[in-house]
Amino acid sequence: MSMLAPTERFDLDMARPAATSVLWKRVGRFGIYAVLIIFAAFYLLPLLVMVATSLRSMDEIRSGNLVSLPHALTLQPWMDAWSAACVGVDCIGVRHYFLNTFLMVVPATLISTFIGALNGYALTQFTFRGSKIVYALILFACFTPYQGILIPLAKALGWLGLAGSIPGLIFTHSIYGLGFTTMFFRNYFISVPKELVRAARVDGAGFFRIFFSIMLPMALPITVVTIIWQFTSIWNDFLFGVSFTTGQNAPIMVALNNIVNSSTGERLYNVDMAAATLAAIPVLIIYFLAGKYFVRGLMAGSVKG
Amino acid sequence: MAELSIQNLGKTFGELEVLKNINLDARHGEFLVLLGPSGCGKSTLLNAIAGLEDITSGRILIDGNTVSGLEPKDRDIAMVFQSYALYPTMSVRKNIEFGMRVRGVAKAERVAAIAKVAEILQIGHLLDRKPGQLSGGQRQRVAMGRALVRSPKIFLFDEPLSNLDAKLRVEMRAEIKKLHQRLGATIVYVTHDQIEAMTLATKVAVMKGGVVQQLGTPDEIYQRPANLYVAGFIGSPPANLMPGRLAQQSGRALVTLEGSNVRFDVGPVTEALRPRIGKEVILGLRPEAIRESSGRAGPGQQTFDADIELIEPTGADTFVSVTIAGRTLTARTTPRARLSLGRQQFLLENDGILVFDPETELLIHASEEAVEEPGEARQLTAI
Repeated sequence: MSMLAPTERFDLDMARPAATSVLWKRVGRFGIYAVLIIFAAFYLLPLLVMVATSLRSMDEIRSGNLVSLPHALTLQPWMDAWSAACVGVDCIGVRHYFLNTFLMVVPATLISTFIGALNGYALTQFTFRGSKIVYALILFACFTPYQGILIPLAKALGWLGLAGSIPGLIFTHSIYGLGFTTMFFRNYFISVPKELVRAARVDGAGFFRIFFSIMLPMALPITVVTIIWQFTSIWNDFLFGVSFTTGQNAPIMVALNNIVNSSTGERLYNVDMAAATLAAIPVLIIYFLAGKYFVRGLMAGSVKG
Repeated sequence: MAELSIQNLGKTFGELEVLKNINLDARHGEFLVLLGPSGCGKSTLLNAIAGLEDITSGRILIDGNTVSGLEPKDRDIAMVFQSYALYPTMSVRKNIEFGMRVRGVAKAERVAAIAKVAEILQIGHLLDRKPGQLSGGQRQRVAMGRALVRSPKIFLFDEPLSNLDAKLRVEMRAEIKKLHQRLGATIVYVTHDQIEAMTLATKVAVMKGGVVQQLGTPDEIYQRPANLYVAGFIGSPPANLMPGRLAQQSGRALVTLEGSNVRFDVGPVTEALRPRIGKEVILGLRPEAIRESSGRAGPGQQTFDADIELIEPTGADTFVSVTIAGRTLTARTTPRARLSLGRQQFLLENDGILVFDPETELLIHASEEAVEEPGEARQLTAI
């Protein structure tokens, strides 16, 4: 007993600080999570209000509990928003405009991403007199405000015979997006070792062969980033849509605005909210599916792997 | 049969002249090493041969045909890069196959060629892996496989071993040498490592500042360095260089070290030495020609006294720093040598003596006394 006592005491002394430090670690962890959850809830609150309101009847909305959950769920506002809500004078819901937007966003995203990739590759391959100025101009293109090019663009579209049409918007977004897409790809390709291209040239591959067989497959992460970026910004665009389309050619953001602004008599908040949620769903899906690639792609250039 | 000939080649980047009037030849089956420190233009020269860099003047001929204006793909060359430059998204098989695909080689032929190369380089088990899953040595093999599979006229290697660790480097060096012996191909190989150059080359071009300082066999470059630069670059450690004055005494040429009366006998007065009697020269002594003295000097040897300052054993060799006439010399001795700090007598083998002109920096004289009759010298020492 007397022989063992010192050892026991020694063990206890060692155990005590270890236990308290574990406890403190847990408290710290708890604090971090608590703060994160509060912030997440704060950001999600508007979405919650939107979805909750879209699932209520107008009677319930009038009773005025904005934040509480709906008492009686109804999908009628969603159905109305999809196919019956009045967009201006046409009471056809957002369905048609939804399709319009897809027909515009998908080609515009693909075209601007592809040309951006090709541009970015070309800019890293050739150093010509003034190549830095070209790159500076491309950066400038990224930060040119929409409003600045609105009138010249309207003229150009009219001259091309594309005014007021979906192809006109595809053209506009493809061109406007080139600044961003070229910059993304250029910054990615600049980190690709030069020897890789040299090896391919010795192997006999030409400019396009190298691009399609070697550079483009390597650029998957930045391609995902660019597609998400372009899809989101073109989908969310309002100004070009409202400026260069009319009536049933309008994209969803314009239609959404028209729904909210064209209700005569009582304002149907539940239908408005359902339409707004519908308009946001494609972008949310893109982020859920590809969000992790987005973060990876953004990191790819900074950390050499 | 593939011969490479470079004639009066020059290259400038704006004002900067990076290659000056380069003339080189590599006959069929020759292993030409371009050796020099970084920035000497050796990689630029290799890229010019490959067609990856334009040249400003001169010509490059492969088998007698001018290729200077041709694209890399039309020169029938293959290249192994320092970073291996494997296509990261393709499997090893696709990497090796890429060049053949681009050229439209039939599938059956491609499969056969890959199988053959995989066997030569023992990379059969790696064919379906991606480059990212390979070790450095394996990547190196794949990079060589990609060059080998095309059976080009000339192979170009750009510092292929410098990214490997020391042990692997020695292994791969031996493999490249075996490969060269087996294929008998013409190879141009760039390196800054003189051991690589000496072990691999049949011909070495020592370069500095865009100029070929010396072109010769490894033996020639070591035994008769053309100038002070080559003497100070080749050998590890390189030759000890000291200023002195040439004198004549009973038919022998002697160099007196500057600021002292220490004299070295550099051999009989030759035609090259005669006009320089009484003038300043630079004396070069090979570290491996200096060792501890075990008594009297034999034929082809002489002795001198010096102070040992530092003894550095490395296992196989022991490097000794000695002071003579106010200058430090390095000697390369065996670990068996019984050495201690302080004054000691040293033995100098005459075949390790070089004499240079201090103004032109060119070699005037390399003593060959012991080289001419090595058998006799050894016999006499034994008696």
